[in-house]
Amino acid sequence: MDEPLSGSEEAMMREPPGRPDVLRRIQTLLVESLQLNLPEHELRGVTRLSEIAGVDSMAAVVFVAAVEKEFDMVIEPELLRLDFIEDLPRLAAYVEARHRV
Amino acid sequence: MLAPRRMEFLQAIIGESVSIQDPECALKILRRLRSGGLVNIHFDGQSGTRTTPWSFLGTPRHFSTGIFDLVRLSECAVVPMLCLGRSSAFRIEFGAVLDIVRAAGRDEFLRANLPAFVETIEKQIMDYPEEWEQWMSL
Repeated sequence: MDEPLSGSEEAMMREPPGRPDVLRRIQTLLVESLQLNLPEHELRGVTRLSEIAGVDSMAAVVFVAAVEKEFDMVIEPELLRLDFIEDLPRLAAYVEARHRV
Repeated sequence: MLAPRRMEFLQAIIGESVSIQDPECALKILRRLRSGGLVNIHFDGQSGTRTTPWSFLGTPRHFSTGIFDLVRLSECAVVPMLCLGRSSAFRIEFGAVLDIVRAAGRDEFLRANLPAFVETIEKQIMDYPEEWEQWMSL
């Protein structure tokens, strides 16, 4: 059974998808924080963490920390789930929604 | 890899546990810490996909580096814990909070803090050598 959505997540889900530049910054952060050797054209096609080989549980935490630092925010504990963190467009929409508040 | 029955047993005792095989392992730990909870990590264990060598009781030994990533990124406090005795009669001792060096990078943080972590469990073992069950892995 799926976990119920939190208030902030519900608000985020009503938002349109994140602007392309936010998604691009997140994709770039992914490569930089995990020190991935990924060409630019391949990077732009990545929308899920699981599409990248070798990304483990700790890598997800390192990526979260990089996103928080870049966008000067703290992701709510209830959203620290792999299904949320690994979906880059969804994460971008969340970041953008948080910045509009 | 821990056998399913053993994990089931630990789950029943501890209430909530995570294994290194869980793809959400580190996220679950961070979530717990951010929620104001406590996490117990066996630093002298042999699990972990990333390790670093360090001298331990005069012998080279590999230590998991994941705990250092978690401490660095969560900025949590680290309290040494020692469980003495057997399941029928035991006591738990807590040490003083470790003085964590706040180095920025992953490698710098590891280099700055690993020695104190190792020294802490070396002292625990030297104080109670009969209690440590992992001599065979040295």
